[in-house]
Amino acid sequence: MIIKAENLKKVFGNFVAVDGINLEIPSGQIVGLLGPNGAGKSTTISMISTLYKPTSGRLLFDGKDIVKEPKWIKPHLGYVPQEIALYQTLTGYENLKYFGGLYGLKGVELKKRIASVSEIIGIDDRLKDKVEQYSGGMKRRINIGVALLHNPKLIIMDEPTVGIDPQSRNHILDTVKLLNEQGMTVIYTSHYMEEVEALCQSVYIMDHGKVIASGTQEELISQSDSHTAIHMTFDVSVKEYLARFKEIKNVMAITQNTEMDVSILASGNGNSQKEIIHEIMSMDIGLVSFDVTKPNLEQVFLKLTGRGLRD
Amino acid sequence: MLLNLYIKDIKVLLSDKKGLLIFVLMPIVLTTILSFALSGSFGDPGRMHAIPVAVVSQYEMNTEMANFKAATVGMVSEEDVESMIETIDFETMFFKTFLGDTQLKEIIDPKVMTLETANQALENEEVVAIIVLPEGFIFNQYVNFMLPSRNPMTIEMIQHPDYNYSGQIVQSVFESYFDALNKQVVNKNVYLTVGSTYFESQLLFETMADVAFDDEGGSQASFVAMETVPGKKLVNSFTYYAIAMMGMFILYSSGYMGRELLNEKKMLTLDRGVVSGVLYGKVLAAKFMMTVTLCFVQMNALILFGAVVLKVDWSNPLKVLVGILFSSLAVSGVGVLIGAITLSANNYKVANIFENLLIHVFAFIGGSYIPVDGLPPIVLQLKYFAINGIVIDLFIDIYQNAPWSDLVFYFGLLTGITVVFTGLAVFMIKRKEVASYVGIIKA
Ligand SMILES: Nc1ncnc2c1ncn2[C@@H]1O[C@H](COP(=O)(O)OP(=O)(O)OP(=O)(O)O)[C@@H](O)[C@H]1O
Ligand SMILES: [Mg+2]
Repeated sequence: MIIKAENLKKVFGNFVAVDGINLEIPSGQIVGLLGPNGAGKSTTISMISTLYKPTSGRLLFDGKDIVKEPKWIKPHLGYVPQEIALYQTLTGYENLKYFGGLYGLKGVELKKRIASVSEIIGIDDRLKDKVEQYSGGMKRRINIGVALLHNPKLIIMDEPTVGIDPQSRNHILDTVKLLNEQGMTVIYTSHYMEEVEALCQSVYIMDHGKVIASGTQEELISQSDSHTAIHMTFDVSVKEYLARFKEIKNVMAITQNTEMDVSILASGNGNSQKEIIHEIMSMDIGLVSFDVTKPNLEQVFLKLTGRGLRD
Repeated sequence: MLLNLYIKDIKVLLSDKKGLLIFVLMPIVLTTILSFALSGSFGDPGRMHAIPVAVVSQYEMNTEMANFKAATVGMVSEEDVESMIETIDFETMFFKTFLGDTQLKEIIDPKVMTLETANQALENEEVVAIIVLPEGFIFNQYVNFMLPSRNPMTIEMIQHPDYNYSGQIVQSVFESYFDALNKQVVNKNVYLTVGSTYFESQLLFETMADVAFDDEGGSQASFVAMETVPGKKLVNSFTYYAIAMMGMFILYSSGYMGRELLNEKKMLTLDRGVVSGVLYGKVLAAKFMMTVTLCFVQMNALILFGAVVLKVDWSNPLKVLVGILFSSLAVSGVGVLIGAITLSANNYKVANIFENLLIHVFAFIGGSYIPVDGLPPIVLQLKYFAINGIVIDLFIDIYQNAPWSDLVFYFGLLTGITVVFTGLAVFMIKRKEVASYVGIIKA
């Protein structure tokens, strides 16, 4: 485990922002931290980044206590804050140079790192411009780039795609995947379920300062008892077939919306809907169209809390 | 690492062109406006030239001499009178030796006129004052010197009401001349009274000239007295405001630092630094160095502007440089404390209060707006609470080429400010745990 948190707690005044959570981040993974606004994601990340001292609990990096000795993690950690943390009136290059310098990089080595990082984040042609002249997407990219200069083992990204265009977002997601393939461990915070689904091997779902569920996506979905919904439309009435539908394996419930329009809830793992559709098609009763809504983390969260991830 | 932080701070400073203008251009503009607007109360009618003064003589030389010779008849031999007149020529002494002196001409610019043209010139503000040498001016001086009697004599000075300060200077210059003469007259009278009981009068008159001028003569003595003219080297409005605005605007450098520290916290660049292992002490140290640099450059620019455009003669470049250095350190000390307070208060209030209110209070009590010398002593005491008050006095002394031993007092005060303020700042930062400073601030 590259990061291990035991009973981690952070209290501001008498407000408990993080309420005794446990985390285990395996080396080489992309781990998602998913939760609505105010869940305590940034606070958790700030403790791992040694910005906040935990009120109580233990925090280990490679088995070493970083609450007592923050220096263990600092050289190996890349931190991407939730907001754009750059000198807006300096150029992209000057920002990279300064923050690289803080990690002791200099001279040719620094130049090389800046070149390779700016290629990864795809802004090498705009390095001479002031950050304030960048688009939102470019700012986000360089915000990430700054954290990559010293080639950290672990990179923590706090909602790195907030408020940007789809193109930049995709670029960032690709970058994260690329970094992970090169061996970097990533802690990725978001309240975009789709991003976490696309990236993360395992996920922690947080709410009100607590981890309310964790595991791989499949584990979370089956734990949460969520189901695949199949919505079907026929060109004839299927009233008399409903009983036969019910007998198909994994069919849990059937709702008839109109005579020709039916919704089926399927249990089982992600593939159960295939068999059901296959069965119904083989009945040859005039299936016109269908669509499948697979269970996702959003539904998991809804199930767990009764609320949506985004307000 | 510290150098890296410092270079970044300088770059950020330079990237804010508008802010930079405030530091240098604003004081230049204000200096120019204020010096012109208030030049009247400082003296000369607009330029830094010597104060123009009209000298009007109302006596007639031949009459004076005839009268004097008549007065000596029967008391002193004609021969002695002639030799005395040859030794001491009061007219030449006043007009050539005194008024013609090059040192004096730096302070006042005397012009001999008739009373009528002098009055006209005063009305047109071409001169600041008229000195009227009355009838009997020469006669009385000879009498007072050579004869036992003392004839009182009044030198009238007519002054333009708008030029108080210049008027005072003119008055003290002339007073010092006549004081010096009087001193000799008193010497002479003592000599005559005491001496006459022992010596023949003949012998007395022969040695009297030596007694009267034994400390290198009356005219020299009057210039010794000139050194005590208030204000020493004339501080005109241009000099004063060049110094006063500098004293005020360096305070903005302090404010800038406080603002910048909080900016870094809000922009989360401070967080980034902390994550990478930068200590708060280093952040403060770099900002301190940046402020010293800013203030140093700012003061040099303003001093240079004063020298080149306003023709202020700063006397001694080394003293100026050392003065700037001590001032910059003190400004940075104040800045670092504002920064520490701003940071722990977590809002711009402190920097705002400082820039919008405190600077002006300081500017006022320190004498950046108007010279505070005329104010009640209590206000004068406050002067040294305002760093600009110290800086103003320091640079006026430097301008007047005061000896190092005088300047040390101000250097001490400024060092005190540097040490106390920086110490307080470090204490504040240390007291609060580093981590607890850094908050996630939502934009
Ligand atoms: N420095 C602080 N002082 C007091 N309260 C804080 C502080 N930082 C965070 N909080 C509170 O702690 C709670 C958790 O905040 P946090 O920023 O960790 O949430 P988050 O999950 O990152 O939310 P978001 O998705 O909006 O970024 C919030 O209610 C927040 O107001
Ligand atoms: Mg957050």
